[in-house]
Amino acid sequence: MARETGIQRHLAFIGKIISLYTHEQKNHLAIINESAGLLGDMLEFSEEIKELPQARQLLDIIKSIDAQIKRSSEMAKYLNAFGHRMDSPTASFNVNGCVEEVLVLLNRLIAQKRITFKADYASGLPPITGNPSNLQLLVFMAMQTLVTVTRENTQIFVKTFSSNDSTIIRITPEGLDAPVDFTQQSDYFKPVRAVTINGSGIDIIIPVNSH
Amino acid sequence: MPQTKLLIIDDEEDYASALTERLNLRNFDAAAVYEAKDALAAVEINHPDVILLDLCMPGMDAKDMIKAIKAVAPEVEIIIVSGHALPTAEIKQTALVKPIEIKELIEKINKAILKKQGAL
Repeated sequence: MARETGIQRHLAFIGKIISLYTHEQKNHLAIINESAGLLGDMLEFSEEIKELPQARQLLDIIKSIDAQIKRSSEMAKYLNAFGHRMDSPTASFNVNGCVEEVLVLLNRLIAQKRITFKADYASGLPPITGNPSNLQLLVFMAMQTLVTVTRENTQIFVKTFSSNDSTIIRITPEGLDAPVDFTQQSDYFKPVRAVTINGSGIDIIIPVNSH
Repeated sequence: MPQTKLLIIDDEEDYASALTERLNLRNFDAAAVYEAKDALAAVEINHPDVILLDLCMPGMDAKDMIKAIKAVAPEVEIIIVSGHALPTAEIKQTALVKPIEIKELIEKINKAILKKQGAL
């Protein structure tokens, strides 16, 4: 019990640092955004600057900065939400949002193997009461296992759906180099459990009522 | 037509000053203060139509600041701006998350003006 409290405190600490960091990051991005925006405005509003030979190139650079701000801001949004998942050991949460955060943040890991993922989130899934951070850890472990056996240049499909009294996250790679072997060895995630589907994918099963 | 007066209350000086210039280029009459302690005096002196208030500033509780602003300028419209994900649906409706698209901000300001004029 004391160990669990310790882990929980540690997670809350990491979560707090992440949310503080993303807040700062958003502020920095806002400064870059307004500064680049002001440069763009000067090009647009000043006839003198508009006539500069490099005006076109400057506009392209500003557009590129703008695109990167949007990209970084989107990542910060997901990272902030991910950090807040660790605020409390018990929360009411939406499975789709939880899964989406992990997938977006894992994009670099997946892209390194030239794998893409395709998600199909069921609408109207009932909210789950439990530990969203634990669920995200299990999704991460499942994804990490699958990425190692998934063939390059293929897709991983992620689907959420309801079945009986459970919400299921089904993760199935398109092409495999080896059978999937993912055994959940710990009680840490109970009552959530993960099972392999005939060596070709993983189901994460979340009881809706007893979680 | 009189210019819409805006007051930006934000401790990020580079952000607030660039935004002030951008809004002034678009025919607003914008000014900025960078410290919470200067905000009320600026409201009383400038009589802004709309305030862009950073939700999280050093030495300032946003709720208290809104109350204090409304006490000296009950007719002013306040748009909350935050670097944080917004906590409640109510705040989400009236607030913006940094970084902000200038078009989105101007739409929000125009809506606030209409609301102030009783058109919304």
